[in-house]
Amino acid sequence: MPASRRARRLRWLVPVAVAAAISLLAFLPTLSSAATPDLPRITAEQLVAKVKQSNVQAFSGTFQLTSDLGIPNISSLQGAAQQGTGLNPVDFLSGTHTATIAVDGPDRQRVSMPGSLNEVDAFHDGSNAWLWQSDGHTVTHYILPADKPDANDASKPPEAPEPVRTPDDMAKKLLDQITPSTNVSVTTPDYVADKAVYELVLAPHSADSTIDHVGIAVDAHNGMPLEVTVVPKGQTKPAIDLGFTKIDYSKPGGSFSFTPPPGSTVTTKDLTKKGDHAGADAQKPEPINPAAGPLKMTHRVHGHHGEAMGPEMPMPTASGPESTKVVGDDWTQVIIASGVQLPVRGFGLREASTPVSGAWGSGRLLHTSLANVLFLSDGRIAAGFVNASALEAAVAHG
Amino acid sequence: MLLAELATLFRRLRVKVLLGVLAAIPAALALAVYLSGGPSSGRGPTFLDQVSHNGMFAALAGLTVAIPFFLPLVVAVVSGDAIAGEANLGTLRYLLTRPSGRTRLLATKAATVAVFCLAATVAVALGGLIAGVILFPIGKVVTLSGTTISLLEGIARTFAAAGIVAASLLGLASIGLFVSTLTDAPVGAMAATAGFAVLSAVLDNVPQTRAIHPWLFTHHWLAFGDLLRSPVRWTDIVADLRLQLGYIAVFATMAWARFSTKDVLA
Repeated sequence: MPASRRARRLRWLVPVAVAAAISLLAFLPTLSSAATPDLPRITAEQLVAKVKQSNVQAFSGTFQLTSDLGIPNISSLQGAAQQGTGLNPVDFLSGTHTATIAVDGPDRQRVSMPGSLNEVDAFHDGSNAWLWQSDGHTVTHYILPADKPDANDASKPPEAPEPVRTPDDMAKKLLDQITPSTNVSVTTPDYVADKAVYELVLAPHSADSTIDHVGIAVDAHNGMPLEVTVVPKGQTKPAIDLGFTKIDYSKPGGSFSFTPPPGSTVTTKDLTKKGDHAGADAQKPEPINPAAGPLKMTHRVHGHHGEAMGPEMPMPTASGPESTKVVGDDWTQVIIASGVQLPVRGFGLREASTPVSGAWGSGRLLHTSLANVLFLSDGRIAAGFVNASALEAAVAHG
Repeated sequence: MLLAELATLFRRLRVKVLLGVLAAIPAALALAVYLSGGPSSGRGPTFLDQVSHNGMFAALAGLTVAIPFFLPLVVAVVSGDAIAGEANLGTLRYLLTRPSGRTRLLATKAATVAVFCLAATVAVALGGLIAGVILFPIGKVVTLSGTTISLLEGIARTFAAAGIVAASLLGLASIGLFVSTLTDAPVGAMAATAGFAVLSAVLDNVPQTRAIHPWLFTHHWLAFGDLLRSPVRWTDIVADLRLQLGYIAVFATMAWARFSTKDVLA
């Protein structure tokens, strides 16, 4: 086939054109989503009220947690935590995690978290809850007490293994925290999961806080919070972004109960019996993921701002704190736990933290863009959404 | 022409041996589980701990084990050889004397490589299934979501998974075909293609390159497991197939641009 030099060159234009067309197709959706919905202006108070009045009983959808806490050497933490199977709380500290959820009233929910060739599913149907982990085929069956202590919390059963909280749960708790310490505003409308939303912005006044602002995207039609973002100071990208990518407000179908498949290991935990959660956990036969210990602390702190993002992992009984106390208030709260025996050496915490010392003593600081955690050499742990110097000051006074 | 090419390919001793080894991988896994007398729960590759409960899982365990390394290697060998091998043997000239033209020859070679990808993954699935049925009981299949499906549906989903894995390899195969048009040394083309697979896998495991992860052809290689959920999760499978289509479109046209204007001397 005698082709002239010119014709030869021209043929190479075909793959170039194909590549260009593909990149155009890939990036076009991002450009078109820049449009903003046409919504009437409302005040922050109206928006908060809208959320409080929101009464979405049933929905199903997909939500995503993207976290970028800027922890150095997070892979060392992950490697250590991977020794356990199933849920790995350290995994939630970085990357993107997707889960699907279906909710039908306060008594029926299911959450499914697909991983790479594995899956964790949680089911709640009335007085029964199940946690299925495809790794090792383990099932934990919880029998829940009939009376719910807190009606507001009914969307999440007290012991139900719901590893990632839904955005609406997180936001409602956050709104309860609104105090004079916070600057509340509403930004321009946007779209989340194809729904028109208002975004409520909460910015702490305190200079010690590591949080620049917390954004809550609220469905303009029914007041359901669809996305929560936490942006640390000095960053434009959120450190935590938990939001729906797809949502459907119709009543979800399918079963909410779970039948353990043949060959699986079933552990039953009867929570109706006397003895608190700690007692029930202590009877847990399987070895508990050791990384859960230190992480529990950060999750507690998150919880004070209503932002617990990780699974409520059971405390390893051997290293539970003797006492905890809270210093400071609102955004600058610091939790100090004493008497915690931490296996710092073996679990990659050493690689992820830096040594610090001062008039208050010495220890190791785990610095993230959002939370700071101080592991003191005397066995205390202090954690909070405050900068390192405020954390050290809290330790010195506490 | 396609049939003739296929017959030539599968008559080769090299290809027969490769397919045999592929089928032996899950069989060896199943045998190892059988001899060690039971599962080590929660350890080793996914699906492997299920093999002793249900022999059918040997096929899926085989796919899981073969896809990171052996399958790409085999595809690199066959696709890298496609054009360069003919050039090396001096047979490319004779193929081009046929009136069908270069574009048609390239298309035939591409189709042959694609059929081989499917043959390779089906060999893994079949090898696993046969070994599993011989060594272990079979029965209802437990999905990743903890639900139970019938054995027949499980087998159907396993072969569908083999099909998805085959499709996942097409991106690499088209890279191999392009590289094969660049050189007359088939070994070089094979090595370069395998190198691309390794590079893509390495980049996919480095968190610092997270921005390009969705664009790496190895990124969704484990998506076939989503067929074993209930309901089946299509998101990643669809993303995988679209990505492979993109790679095929770019590299097949590059192979065409190169091959249709190449000076064939050998």
